[in-house]
Amino acid sequence: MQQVQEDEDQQLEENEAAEAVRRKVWTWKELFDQWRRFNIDLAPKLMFCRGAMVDLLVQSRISRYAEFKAVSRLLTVLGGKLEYVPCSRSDVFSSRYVSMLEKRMLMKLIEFVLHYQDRADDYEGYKDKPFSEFLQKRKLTSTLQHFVIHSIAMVSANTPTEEALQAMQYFLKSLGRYGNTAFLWTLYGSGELPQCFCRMSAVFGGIYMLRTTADYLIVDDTNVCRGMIDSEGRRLTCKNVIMDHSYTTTHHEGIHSDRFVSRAVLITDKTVRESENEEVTFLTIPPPKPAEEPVRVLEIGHTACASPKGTYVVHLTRKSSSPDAKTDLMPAVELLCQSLEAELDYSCEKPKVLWSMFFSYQDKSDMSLEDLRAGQPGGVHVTGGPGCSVGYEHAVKQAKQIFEQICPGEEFLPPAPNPEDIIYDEPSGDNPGHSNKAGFEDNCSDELKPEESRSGNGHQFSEQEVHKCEDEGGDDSPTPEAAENVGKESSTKDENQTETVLVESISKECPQGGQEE
Amino acid sequence: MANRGSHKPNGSSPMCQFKLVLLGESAVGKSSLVLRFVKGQFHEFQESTIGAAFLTQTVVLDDTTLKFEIWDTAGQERYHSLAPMYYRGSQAAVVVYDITNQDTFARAKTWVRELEKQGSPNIVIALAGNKADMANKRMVEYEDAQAYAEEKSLLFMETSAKTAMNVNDIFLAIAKRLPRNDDSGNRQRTQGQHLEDKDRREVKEGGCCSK
Repeated sequence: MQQVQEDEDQQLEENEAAEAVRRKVWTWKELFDQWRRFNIDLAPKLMFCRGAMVDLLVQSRISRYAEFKAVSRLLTVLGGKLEYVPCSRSDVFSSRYVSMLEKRMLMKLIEFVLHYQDRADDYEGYKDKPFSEFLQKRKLTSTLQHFVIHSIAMVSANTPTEEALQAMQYFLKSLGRYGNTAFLWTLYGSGELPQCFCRMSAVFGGIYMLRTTADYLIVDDTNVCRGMIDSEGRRLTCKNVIMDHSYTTTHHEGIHSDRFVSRAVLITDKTVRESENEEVTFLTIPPPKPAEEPVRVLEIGHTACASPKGTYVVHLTRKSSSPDAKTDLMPAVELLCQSLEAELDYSCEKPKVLWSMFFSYQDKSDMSLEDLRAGQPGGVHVTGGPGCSVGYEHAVKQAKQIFEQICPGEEFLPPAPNPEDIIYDEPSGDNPGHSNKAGFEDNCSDELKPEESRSGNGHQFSEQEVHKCEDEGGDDSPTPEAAENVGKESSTKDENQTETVLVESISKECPQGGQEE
Repeated sequence: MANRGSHKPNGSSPMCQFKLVLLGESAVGKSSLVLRFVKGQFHEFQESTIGAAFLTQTVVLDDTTLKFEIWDTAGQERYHSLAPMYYRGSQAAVVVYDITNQDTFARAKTWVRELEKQGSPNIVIALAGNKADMANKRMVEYEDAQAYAEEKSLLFMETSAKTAMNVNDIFLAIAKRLPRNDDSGNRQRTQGQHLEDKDRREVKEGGCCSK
């Protein structure tokens, strides 16, 4: 008996040893040495393939600054296990979890939702009733309802049917544009997008200042914003300031003061569900009770440039009514990963958390711009923060609204000219030594002529010109508001500066309305 | 161009695309060098930035076509606020100084250090002493710059965007040093997709319920 026990123990040890060879044990130093390979977003978002952000990036040609990766799998939790969500026609047919009958039901529903506006009779009676009742009426099984509500429409069982249909259609329409996926992820993270907008702004003369924060607003005696003072003590003159609500001192008493977003960021040593490919995974953990909130999980690895090879960054996001992220998200962490406290358990298939961070932020994303800026000086525009939406729809909408307030009648982010299409005027110096006039002179109205003095000592910088003050924490990703802000910037401009001249000359090829006052 | 790495268009000669960034103090002639290289032009009073996303120029070298995607700093060097995206995936860099201004050479050294820290691990760096046509006002000795370049294993040339001296040469020298076979050229770069190109192929991709 004793012998058998020893044999078993030995066997177990051997297994563990074999497992240990297969599974790397990370040391803190190894992880730390690779810190530059981690790109951790504070507010990661996905782009719907046919969503507002993709359209905006393509239309403005800002997309050429970034590269994207398809979100390669959609998972959900079914019976305590992670399962694939069938959402496209091919997924539905190849899915193992749905029966023939369910396949037909789901396909019928998908066809219906794509054209639901034309078939009002089919849902009229349910318009304002819970989506789950509507699905019940269409005799969807509980498994299918689960897929549809939580992962395809991404609503809750109680969401009014019409709103849910709209959400589901938005998702379905995004499939197929860039392959069999509804979402794209920005390589290196969501934090790339503000950089793309900043870059576009910069090539047309916008200035962005990294590692600088705004400390004070300068307000005149009529309570209108005249400028700001930055963390270096510089005085920046401007007519408009766009900022996140967290910069304001106003507390919107009573209005949504109880709304928070709970976040967790984990670094793990393996994926939540084994796969042959390196995946970008979007997982929805449905709430235990319909009235509670789901947890959205995004897992990205080294192919999406989020982390070094062999590690994954896992983002958990959830709506909350308290700023206690750990309480909100711990059940989800425990469902997906090995215990945070315990040592690595080789016999457990689940990922081991190598590093974790919990935090929460206030969510004012559903407040109107008017409510957000209440009590602020004139010229100050306040954004509602990233919220916890899956995509950028709200950010794009808000950016556009603020842009229209600042630059009424101007086109929002028109296409930038292709670099090859920009025609430089009379190459004055093509015969070396012959010319003494500025290349852009012919394009400039009198007051825009480049100053003679600029030729030798380059760019002269007046404080007035520095109208952009955007803090970007290096590789850490700022909120999408940074992206918003850039699109709307450039409202103040010193007429005598180069930037204006440059925009003028380029606008011959392609009007850059938004760049000027 | 959906692909920044190596690929063969229509099965003809191989084509490689590389991202190249320009660095250096304001007014040393970064944009002028690019404009000379890409368009063969020179503007005495070059505006301080080239108003474009990035310019591209193709170089043919030993039956290989190399396409440079050239990123100018667009004035952001003044505030030392070059976003990480600027360096990301760059396979080559030209650090420019003005031979008539000692300070710009000191700044060039700082940029080289910055590249060593932030740039891709195997980045090819070239040092360009620009405004060589103004040698009568020279403040940076050729030998000093060369010694520094040797110490740091940088390519080095004195250039003049105005007379075109060494402009094509320095880009060609970089092209020669860049790894061209699929493997080494792409090792650091993880490929993502580009939006516009995919968009046009939309119809073909289909195969899902939205179609």
